[in-house]
Amino acid sequence: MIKIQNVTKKFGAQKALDNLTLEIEKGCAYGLLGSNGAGKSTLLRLLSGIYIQDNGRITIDDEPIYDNPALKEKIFFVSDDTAQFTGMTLLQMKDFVKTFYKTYNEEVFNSLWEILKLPLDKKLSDFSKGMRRQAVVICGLSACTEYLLLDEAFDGLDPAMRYAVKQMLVDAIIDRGVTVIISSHNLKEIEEFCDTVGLIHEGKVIFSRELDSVKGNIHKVQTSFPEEVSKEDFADIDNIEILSLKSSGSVTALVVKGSTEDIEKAMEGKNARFCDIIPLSLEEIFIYEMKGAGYNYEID
Amino acid sequence: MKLIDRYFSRYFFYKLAKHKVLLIVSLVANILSLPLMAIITSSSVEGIYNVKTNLTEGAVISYETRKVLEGLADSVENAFIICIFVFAALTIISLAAPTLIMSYNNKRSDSDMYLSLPISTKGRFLADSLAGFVIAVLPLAINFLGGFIFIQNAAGISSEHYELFNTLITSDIGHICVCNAYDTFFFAATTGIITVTAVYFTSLFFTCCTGRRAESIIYSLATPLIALLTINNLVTLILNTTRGITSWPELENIPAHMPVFGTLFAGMGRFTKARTVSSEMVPEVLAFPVSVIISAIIICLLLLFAAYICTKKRKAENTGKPFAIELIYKVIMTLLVVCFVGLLVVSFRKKQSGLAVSILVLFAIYMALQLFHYKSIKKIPMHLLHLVLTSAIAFGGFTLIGLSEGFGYGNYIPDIDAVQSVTVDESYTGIYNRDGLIYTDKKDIEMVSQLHKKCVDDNIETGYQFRITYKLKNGTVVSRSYIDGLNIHIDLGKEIRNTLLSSPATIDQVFGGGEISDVEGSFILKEGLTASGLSEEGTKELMEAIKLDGNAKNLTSGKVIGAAELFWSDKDIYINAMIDITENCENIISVLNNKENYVYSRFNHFYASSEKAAEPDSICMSIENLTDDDFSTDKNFYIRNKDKENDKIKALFELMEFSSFMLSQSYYVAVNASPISMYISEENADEAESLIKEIEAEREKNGDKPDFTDCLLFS
Repeated sequence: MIKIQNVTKKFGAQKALDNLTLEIEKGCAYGLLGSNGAGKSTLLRLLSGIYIQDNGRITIDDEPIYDNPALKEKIFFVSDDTAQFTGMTLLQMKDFVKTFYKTYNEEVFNSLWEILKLPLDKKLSDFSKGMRRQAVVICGLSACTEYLLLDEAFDGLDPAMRYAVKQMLVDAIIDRGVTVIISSHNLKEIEEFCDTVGLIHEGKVIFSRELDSVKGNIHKVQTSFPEEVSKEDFADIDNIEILSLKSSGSVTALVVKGSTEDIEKAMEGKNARFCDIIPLSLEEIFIYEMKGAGYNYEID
Repeated sequence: MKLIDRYFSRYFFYKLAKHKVLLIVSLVANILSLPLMAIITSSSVEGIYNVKTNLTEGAVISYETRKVLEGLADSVENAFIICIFVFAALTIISLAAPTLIMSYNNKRSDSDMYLSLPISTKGRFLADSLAGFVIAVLPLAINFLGGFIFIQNAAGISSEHYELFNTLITSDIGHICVCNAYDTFFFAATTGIITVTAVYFTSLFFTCCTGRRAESIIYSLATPLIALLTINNLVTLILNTTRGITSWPELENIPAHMPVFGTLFAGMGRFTKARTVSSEMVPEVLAFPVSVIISAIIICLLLLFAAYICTKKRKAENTGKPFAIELIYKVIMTLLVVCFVGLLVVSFRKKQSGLAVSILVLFAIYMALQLFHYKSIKKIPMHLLHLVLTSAIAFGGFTLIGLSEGFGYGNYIPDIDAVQSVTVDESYTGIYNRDGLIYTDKKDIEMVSQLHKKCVDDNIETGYQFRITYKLKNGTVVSRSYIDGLNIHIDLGKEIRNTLLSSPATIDQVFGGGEISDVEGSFILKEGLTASGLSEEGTKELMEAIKLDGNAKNLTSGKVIGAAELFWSDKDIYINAMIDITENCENIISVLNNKENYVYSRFNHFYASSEKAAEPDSICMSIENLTDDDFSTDKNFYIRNKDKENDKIKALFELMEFSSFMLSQSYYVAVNASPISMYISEENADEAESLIKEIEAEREKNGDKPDFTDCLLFS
């Protein structure tokens, strides 16, 4: 289990992580969400022992990670930048991983390579960006570590390859119980792949929950009221929070935080002529949450 | 710890494999370096073995042989030129190796890769440092070892081959001049290994404290130079202020103990000096003192430790920034200002020119580095403020040291009761002992202490001609030097000489010790002159006479009627001493008069009244105008026409003064190119000049004007 307690990380005067607290269960597929500069990559580098926090405590399986080679053996970090491997061939890269991770499994490598069929003797500098990422991911998976940290792992992959990589990760989670922490801007991928998501904004955690719980709590509602209504009209209703309200003619569209039952009850209370409750995509949730956190997004 | 062991070796070998190209380049560069290159070239010497034999036996060299020798000379010279490039390549490899191996310190993507590996910071640092050392330094050391084995074998298996190799390496061709193979070899090995190792560890340190490759290389090169100059300036100022030491051989000691530039400069100095000394002294000159090697090892270990501390302290996010540890940058910039201010103060004290240029250079370098570091012109006022403040503080510090004579240290005179012995190094007043004159008697110590007090009271400048070193009873050594030019302080110089000569201990030490085997002396008396070597028996007799006259205080009493300059050999060292001969020196005069080689009995018989005298034409008088740097004003008189010139030359001779002690004079006169000191004083300068002009005019009129070459040939 990963425990991050009151961690602060500063770069000069700027706080990349601000008293951040987060727990990630072992064996889960954790999606790390956040706007640019939110602190996702910083958090992953802290978790892989590259950075050291200024304050707070980070433990993995109850041990601090920084300068802890024994623990680092359990973690493989795939950075968003693959430039460091460009001088290597896939074979050399495989040997590199094999050298430093005693858990490396040749069979896993071969089986993954069979799927992607990447050139073995060609330097990674001659690979496309997507191929490089695939190469790094299969090496990371072949290391068979208990924790796999992926920074923008799906970046640059075509749909077919995205699917293939996703499948590999899912297999690793199911077969070996790997804990995968993945940061991505591609919320659709996270939505399809992760069971738990965390949203970071300005170095703070906005939420960290199971995906179903996140998705089950925010809804888009299309309805019609006999009279014009505003957000304030719902202020006195318990258990729901109106995140957005827009009217177009007689139809009103709302984004509401709360259970479907509470929403339906609230709409009835305001004499709604009808009430269609539509689940939000993760992307929409992300945007509304960010808006709630002060980000000025406009969404129709 | 177990984990470090496991991944340490894996990581180490991985890094070696990753940088195998650099390792191969290093090995190849080393193979081409001096010792092996010389060995390779030496194989061609075999072809001219017979030539050498013929030469040894005095055979005439044929044109073809000469060509072969010239070809060989060319190849050795070319080898040397190649070696310069090879050495430069090795230095570049040493400089670059740490930045390439520890690329995670200057490339963000590499820091992600290497810093997430399951190896501790310590393990990674040690493995990388070792890999870099193996690449940059080890091939050089192995190469020298190979060269050493070759020399050993060559000497053991075939003395002829060794001789040939020795001939090759010692041949004074181009710049390859050193004594024998062993000395050459150890000189090259010491300088090379110390320099390359120091460059490597300096670069290692800067790789660990900077975040970019450019900074790592720039500061690896610049900082040792800045540090060397700063320390040199400080030491110069302090030693100059407190001990009066200004000569390079003294000051070289501290910079020579600073690897990279210090050792390199010291090495070059030694190499140059080796070409000017006798072959017996070459090994001594070339050998680096053990302290230099120990100092280099200590500094390299300190750099390694500092690099490790930087590695532990640095944060990964600073990769890509100019400095990962900003404090070090600030220290370097402060050091740079201190260095230049020191340079200015020292230049000012020495009345050297170029202060404005120095200030401009400091300003330009300082601002360029600051702008390169911060990449912003907005901070220029801040940089200027730092520059001005640091300069002011440094200037204040240096000035304070200068004005306070090293906070009073410069004027300190130990209490005579606390002194165990005192050594006086005095060379310019003619009293010389190579180990210095050592006094242990309380009377003598008091005498030296009084001289010291006089120097302090009279505010005599510091210099290096009169050095007093007290060894105190508690083991402390106090050393002070005075007088930078005795001709300015004639009275004090005379007093020093006379005071020291009045002690029998001086005479004993200068003329009484050692195994003096031969004396080559020039003795000149007002009424006559002699210049020749003395037999063993004559030497003993003369020394005894000097001792007798010295102990009787004859050397310091009475009118000076002449001077003697003596050169004698004591084991392998040549020593010289100059003494005045007074009218009371009956023993010395008696010995000289009794000697068969006391050639010229009287000046009136200058033109050989004696049968044993040289031909009159061999007399040559050269007069050097000391007040003029233009050598064309120097006069050389080659006496051809004794009948015509006799009176004028005689008159000129009468104007000369004899002294072993340097006087304030206008002309220096050498007779028969003898090194004896004869002077024409300022008082007589006008008269002498008009006489010289008359002689010249007369000669010009007669078309008889010998040149200096004639004079040299005769002398």
